[in-house]
Amino acid sequence: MGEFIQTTIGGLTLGAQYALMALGFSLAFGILRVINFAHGAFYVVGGYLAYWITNEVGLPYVLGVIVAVLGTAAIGYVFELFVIERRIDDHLATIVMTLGASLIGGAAMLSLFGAQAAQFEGGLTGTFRFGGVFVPHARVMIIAVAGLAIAAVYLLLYKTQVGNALRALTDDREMAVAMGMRPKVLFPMAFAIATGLAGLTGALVTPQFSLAPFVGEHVLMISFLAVILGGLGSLPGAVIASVLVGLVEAFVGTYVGGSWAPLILFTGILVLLVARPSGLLGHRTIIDA
Amino acid sequence: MRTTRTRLLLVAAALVAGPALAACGSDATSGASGSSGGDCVLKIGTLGPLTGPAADFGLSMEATAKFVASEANAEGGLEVGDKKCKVQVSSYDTGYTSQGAAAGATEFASKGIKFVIGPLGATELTGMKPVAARYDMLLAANGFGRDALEKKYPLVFHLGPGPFVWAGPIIEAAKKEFNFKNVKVIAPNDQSGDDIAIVDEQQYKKAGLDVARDTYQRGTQDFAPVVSRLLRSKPDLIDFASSPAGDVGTMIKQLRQAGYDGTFARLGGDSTGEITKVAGLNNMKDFFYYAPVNFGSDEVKKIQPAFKKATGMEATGISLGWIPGARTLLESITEAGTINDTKAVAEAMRSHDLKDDLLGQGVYTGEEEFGVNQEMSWPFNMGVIKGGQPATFTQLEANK
Repeated sequence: MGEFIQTTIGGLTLGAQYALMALGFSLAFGILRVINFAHGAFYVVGGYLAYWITNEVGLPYVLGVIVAVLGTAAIGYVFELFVIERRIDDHLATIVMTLGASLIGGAAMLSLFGAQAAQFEGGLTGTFRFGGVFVPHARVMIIAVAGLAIAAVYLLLYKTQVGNALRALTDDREMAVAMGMRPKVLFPMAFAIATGLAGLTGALVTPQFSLAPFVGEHVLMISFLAVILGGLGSLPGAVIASVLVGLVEAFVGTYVGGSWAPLILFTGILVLLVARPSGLLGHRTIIDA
Repeated sequence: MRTTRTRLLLVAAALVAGPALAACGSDATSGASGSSGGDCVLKIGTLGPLTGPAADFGLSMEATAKFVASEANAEGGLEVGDKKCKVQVSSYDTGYTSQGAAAGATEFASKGIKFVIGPLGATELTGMKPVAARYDMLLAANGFGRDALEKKYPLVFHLGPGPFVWAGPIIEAAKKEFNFKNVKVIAPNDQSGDDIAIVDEQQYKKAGLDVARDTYQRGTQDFAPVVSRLLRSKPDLIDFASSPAGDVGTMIKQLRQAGYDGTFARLGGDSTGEITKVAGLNNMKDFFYYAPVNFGSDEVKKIQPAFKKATGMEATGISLGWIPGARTLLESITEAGTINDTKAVAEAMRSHDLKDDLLGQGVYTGEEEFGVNQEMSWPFNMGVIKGGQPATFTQLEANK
């Protein structure tokens, strides 16, 4: 019974981490219709910024996290404004641009910090134990932050004028512009929020796993998976899918074997997408290109 | 033009899954080995993952090649017959893949390169051997695969000893240092992971220990399910075999968080420095591993500054461990007196006395495991971290 509870908690914490990873990715697609292949690179940059502030500059970890969020958001803002925005309606071009940014980001971290993983322990190292169940403090923090981030993004999009404007621009850009909305202000801001979330995730999660120049590739894969499974552009879908992926990985990994988890997971996703091509909460729409 | 999300999705999915992106070749020099206008140039190829998660391995191998080249060039060049040949190193990034290594062999062949230091992974070597054989290319490689060396590829050598040689002696030595009976071996579920994990498992069995092997998907980031599974059998020793350093560090961290109090081993390629960085020395606590060199020895301390000066990077255990094998290749080229006839150089390598200032007296092994005696087995060490204290080293001899 203890192992079952442990596996469930493990799956939920894994799902929360995946949700945090997928949130920014889903936001960029949901608002800008940009599949951000640099999401993993922003995650890595966020991790290294937090590491640099904490280990090299010697400031508290909390400040490292804040700098990571602001730094990646600023890079994302500038990148959207000067690069993405120029070809925002050309989806293939934005894919190539973000892919290029991803390679540049990884290579830059490799040049600055070297190929070896960084020694980054973060702020929380203890573990809660009850019965045979253990939950590291850092995971509890990640779940809490993931919950707050999801709530904040939801409130921003659905309960504020900025959110209304962003959604209006997504639905019909020309009409929204005619109504006085300014995509050159709002889109960079939305992209900055998305990359800031990637940076936040990197700052929080890399101390628990490892921090090296190319660890973002897996993050990109998981984010992409969760976003497709949940329904492209659907934030609630991405969150639900993340938790599902986490639970499947945990239960299969524990009871069947680590090698079987991807096989069973991807087979399940394949079946689900055949039955429901738009994902769990997505809906099929046509985009003008 | 109208495009659906589905089409966009297909393009994106193809890009996510596109492993070809990882295999980006690079070469800084051009032109074949040879003599023109009186200048003799020997071009040595080196290849491995120079970017990506395993870049530490590839960069270490590249640095080894650069270091031995710098040693030869410091003497005015490598003596070949009546000439002194300048040694140049040409690098290729394999992306740690079989196809990347095969592409590297073709690239080297197009440049007339006949001698290669590398590749280093089992899958890379599998992909490279047939292509290299087509061009009579001599490989001083490292791959620990169970069929790394084969009779049908007489120009393939091992730069250093493999797990067949060192796993048994290290396990016997570790039994005196740590108390363990129930062992779990874990490694990624691919050739590079399996080949070493299976050898380790066999050696633990030979040592009379209760051992079981498990696998995980390469690329896993959160090992919580793997940790739960590992702990179920209550092992008192967990051996990570050749799992990537970042994975090992993360697993150690998560196992300690889960309350595991036993011993860890890493009987695979040495990357203890990086594992320690990820896991933290306190979490390592009780850990033993295959160490190609003793970082406390005078010979190693002496060579480290020169290595950094020549290569621009700090010497790693594996880069230092490969130096004697790489030197053997250059000395054999001198002995054979040719920079073109790889068969003659291979013959010179086979009759080399394998004596080196850095690691001492080596022996050729491999007959029993591979059917071919072309593995240069230098004295090696068991590194031990006990109670979270920095590593100590015990020198061991190869099982010939």
